[in-house]
Amino acid sequence: MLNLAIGVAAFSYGVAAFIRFRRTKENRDAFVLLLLCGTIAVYCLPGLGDSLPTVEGVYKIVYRPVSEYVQHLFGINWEDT
Amino acid sequence: MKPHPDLISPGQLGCLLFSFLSGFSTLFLMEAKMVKQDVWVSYLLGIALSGGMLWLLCYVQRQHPHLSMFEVFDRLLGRWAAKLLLAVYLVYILEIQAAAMQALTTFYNTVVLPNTSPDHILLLIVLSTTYAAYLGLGTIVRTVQVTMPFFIVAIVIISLFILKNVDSNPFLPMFRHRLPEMAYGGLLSFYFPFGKSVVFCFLLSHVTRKERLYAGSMTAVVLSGVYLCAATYLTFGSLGMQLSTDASFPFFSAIQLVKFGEYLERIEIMIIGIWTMFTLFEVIVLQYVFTKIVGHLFGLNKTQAFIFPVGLFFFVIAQKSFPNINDLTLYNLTIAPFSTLIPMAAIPLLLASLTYFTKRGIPR
Repeated sequence: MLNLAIGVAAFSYGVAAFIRFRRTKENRDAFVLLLLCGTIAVYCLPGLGDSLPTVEGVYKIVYRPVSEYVQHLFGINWEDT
Repeated sequence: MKPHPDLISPGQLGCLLFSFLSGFSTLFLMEAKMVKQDVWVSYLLGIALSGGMLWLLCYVQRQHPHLSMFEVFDRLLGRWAAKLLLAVYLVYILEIQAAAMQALTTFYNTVVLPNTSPDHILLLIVLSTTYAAYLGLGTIVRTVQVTMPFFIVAIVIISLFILKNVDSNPFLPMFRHRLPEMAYGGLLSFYFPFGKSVVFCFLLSHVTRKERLYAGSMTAVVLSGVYLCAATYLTFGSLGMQLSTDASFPFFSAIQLVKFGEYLERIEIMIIGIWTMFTLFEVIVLQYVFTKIVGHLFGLNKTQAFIFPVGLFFFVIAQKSFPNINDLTLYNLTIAPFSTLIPMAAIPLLLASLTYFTKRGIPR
């Protein structure tokens, strides 16, 4: 429910600001803001929003091998801590 | 003549950096749980590495006194490479803001507001930081200057009372851990909290006296290190090593032991209130800098209109990240020390090298 409200708020703000920026001929600002607000609205969608990537999710995949290698190299044992 | 509202002095930069680093630093005491009594070595390593990176960034800014750091990126790297590296900082800010907001939410949900939904706490944080970021850098800095004495007085008083519970030096016996373990602890404290100071490179052009840039920022990093080391000492001394390692929020467990007679036994609630303000400054600065980077990256005219959606973007990313505290702890211990090395170390080194070679006229 909260996410839905935030999604609607973001989308409404994006459309309102888009129209305002278009009136003042600031097209780049208008499109970037609409894109950002659209992204937020998609993240707030139930189901689809949960399957979208986060920095945490991507970095876990990218950096886990590096991390495991360095921990092995340094002989780090988390059981001791 | 009225000064520009977004221009700050080196002292104000130091105050802001101290609050930025110190807010969350004592929350988990990750490296302290790992290397226990030798944690001070890790702190020294973290401070030295951060000091080195700050020196490089201040050097780059001093060589380009009339340019903002965004323009320095453009000049040194060319337009598209600069955009790519600025995008790296956007991702870095998204990463650390998600960790910071989830840490604060978890803490509040565990200690203060157990019946409140974490999402509602997240939303309250975002609304507060959005309002603060909207008011601008000058207002943020002056707010830090107002709240800082309260924070310092509260922490000093509570520390003196915790000190009464410390019987022996908990940092003894020294050097009980292997060098690689202390080095890994140093990497942890470089990631959190000291290395986060690289975000301030985007605020350096707002400082009035560029010759005092490094002194102002390094003083803040060192004082933040002293505060962190003192908090760890008091936590180990009053709780003991085992309980400090087992507790989720060890410094606050130590604070909870303090009682002022019969009437002020929940003194930690007041401390938490003041501490919360300090933690919010981290998210406020991140939101402010993120908006400025987005503005430069896309060549925007009016970045003020982007502060609110950036806040909501922070909310959705933080909400979808770190489903529970174990995820956050594991990420902070094993992934983040490596994923943050590019923005915290590689890019400052690259910028400083390019500045040096450009200045000397040596072909790259």
